[in-house]
Amino acid sequence: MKINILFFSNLKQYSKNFTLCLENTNELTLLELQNILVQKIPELKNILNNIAFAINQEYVANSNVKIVDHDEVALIPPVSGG
Amino acid sequence: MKLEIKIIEKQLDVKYAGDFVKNISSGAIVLFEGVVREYNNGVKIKNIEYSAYELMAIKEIKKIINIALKKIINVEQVHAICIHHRIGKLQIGDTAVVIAVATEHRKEAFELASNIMDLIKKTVPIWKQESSEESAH
Repeated sequence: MKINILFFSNLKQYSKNFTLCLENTNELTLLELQNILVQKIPELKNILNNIAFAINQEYVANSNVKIVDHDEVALIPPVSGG
Repeated sequence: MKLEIKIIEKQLDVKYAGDFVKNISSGAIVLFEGVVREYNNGVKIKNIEYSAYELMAIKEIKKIINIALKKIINVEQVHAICIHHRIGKLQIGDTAVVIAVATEHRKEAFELASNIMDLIKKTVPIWKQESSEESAH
């Protein structure tokens, strides 16, 4: 499966947007994805509590929510619009 | 209800937003303009760069409008809303956000513009990064 991972604002210093390709997997939970991301980008570990996640442009509060092929997952640092 | 939501890279046209919501049924138009100010917490600002997750920002603003409308008793008296948010590098005095609301009477227009702005700051995926005079040195 392929998941598009998006980074915004100050999180761009840690990674560019990328497509995560996982073999032999059809779905995974947000928590599992977070663990993969922390392995790939260790800097995220200490700031994960301050990052919200969105799947296909919708905030996700529950880390057990399933992510499927071609989902778009965004890491949302604290917002500051207006 | 007439509605327009845009994330814009060019200078915002405040008059456009007012004209967009204006109609013969509305006795009140509230036009809020958020502007880049010179000082933030005593630090002189050089410029502010706004960025957005545009697709989600539009979706979130739509949700926010619905939340704000639910608090309005006479929701049928809300006739038009226009929200434009700027992205890119803004200088002092530039307009970062415009909210225009047209309603039958003024109370709803003031309330909506204020509530929408509060909610934008809480959930809409838009970010500002300030450059101060100090950090530029």
